[in-house]
Amino acid sequence: MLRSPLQLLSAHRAQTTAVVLVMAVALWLVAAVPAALIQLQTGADHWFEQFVPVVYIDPGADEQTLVTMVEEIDDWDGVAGVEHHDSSRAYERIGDVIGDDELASMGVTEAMVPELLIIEPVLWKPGQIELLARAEALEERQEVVAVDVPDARSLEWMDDARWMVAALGATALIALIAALAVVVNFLRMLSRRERREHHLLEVFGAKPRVLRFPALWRGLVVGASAGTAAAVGFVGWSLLLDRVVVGLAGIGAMSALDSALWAGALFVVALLLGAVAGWIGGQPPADGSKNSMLEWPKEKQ
Amino acid sequence: MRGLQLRIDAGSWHEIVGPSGAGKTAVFDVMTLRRRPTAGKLVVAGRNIDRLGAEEVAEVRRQVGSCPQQPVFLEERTAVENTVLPMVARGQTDAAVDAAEEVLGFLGLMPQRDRPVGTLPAQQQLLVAVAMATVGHPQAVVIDGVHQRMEPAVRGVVLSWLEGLRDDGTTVVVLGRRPMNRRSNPVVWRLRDGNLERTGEVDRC
Repeated sequence: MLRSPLQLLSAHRAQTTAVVLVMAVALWLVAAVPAALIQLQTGADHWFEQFVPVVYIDPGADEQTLVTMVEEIDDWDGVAGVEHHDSSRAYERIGDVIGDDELASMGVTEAMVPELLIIEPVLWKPGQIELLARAEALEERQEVVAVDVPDARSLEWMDDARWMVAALGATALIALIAALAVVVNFLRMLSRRERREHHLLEVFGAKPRVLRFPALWRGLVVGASAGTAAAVGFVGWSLLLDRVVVGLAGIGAMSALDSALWAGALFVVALLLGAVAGWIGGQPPADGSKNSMLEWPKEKQ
Repeated sequence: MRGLQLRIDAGSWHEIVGPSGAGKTAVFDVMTLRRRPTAGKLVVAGRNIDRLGAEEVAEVRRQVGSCPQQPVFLEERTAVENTVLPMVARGQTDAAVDAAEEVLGFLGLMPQRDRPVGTLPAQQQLLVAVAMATVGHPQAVVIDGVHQRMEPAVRGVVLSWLEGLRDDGTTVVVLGRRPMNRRSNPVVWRLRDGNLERTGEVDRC
């Protein structure tokens, strides 16, 4: 090419900026949703600990019955594992929750504390409400003293959150595909502006890959710009998430390293997508005559 | 076109003449690798085009300078930018400006060097088209009728430039209603009714 491929981008500054922003927003959405999911999952682990179903077993129950019950619960759908706490560990756990001094002042001893089966649900899997019902039903068994189940409303909230994240993820993917289509069409439009130059270069022997280079280069630049904007937006968003969501829900903050890694990955993905868009946008128009040997024939008068 | 057989040796000057509609432009398109013949064999610069991929076809095109009947320019670009374009296509960017200035100088276009081609008079635009076809002394130059629209003085300058190229070993092929070169004994072919016949003499055309 006679001039830098980027000159055409600066000649269409407003359109270029709009296209970069569209791609950046779509990329940000695509990154922000899974990051939020992971963040919420991390938070949910902590949060869930307060609400997992706990089965209190009669200290006198025989070992075999206990083992059979653990295996049975472990096989339930939606159960990640069953943690068995004997009386001694259960006593420690209660002490951790209400304080050792308080426990002692109540005159509770290890022998008085039932053994515990803590049912760990599979997080982000629908159907936790059913799991609660099954856990509650264990109370009817002779060896079970009581069953402590979390508030069903909190699990409903988790179900809602799951669906919301899934919907957001789908929206983000659709937005990314739409943004890519916008970038490809923009790059194609720029290539068509250069059609006459492409035609002349081809007539005088330019290699096909040389003719595709300007669009590829422009795609990389658009991708890099969008990636930078999305990465900056992502870091800002993760800081906001730390400040707001962490404060509200007590969810663990995303570390600076994690945030930087996400931002870096976002940039690389944007670069690759830009290259793909550039490659597609640089394809010659398929309107040559039947026997034309030129990929870029002279434009029709 | 029917049974068209034409062999052009390196360093020679050929004139292909015929009336309007005889198929000169079709021959030009095939010779300059713009269009593939529907049948037959096309060998350019010793390479059978049927057996070449896109990259190799481009390699052959780099050896042929061409000027179509309706030249295509980058009208908003200057004369020198248009003239260096074929050199850029060939990857000879280092020598491009010198080569462009050589041909623009010979054709008397140096004063218009930095003017956009779209602003030049028609005669000077035709000269730019010839400059683009011949810059960098390609192995072959094919010109399709553009000389017919030139004023005699302009045509004379172009003829001298082409003769100089031919003397340096460039093959020159000119297509038109009448021969362009009557002074250095070109090989003349007549295109009529889809057939091509060698007349051999300029005076018979």
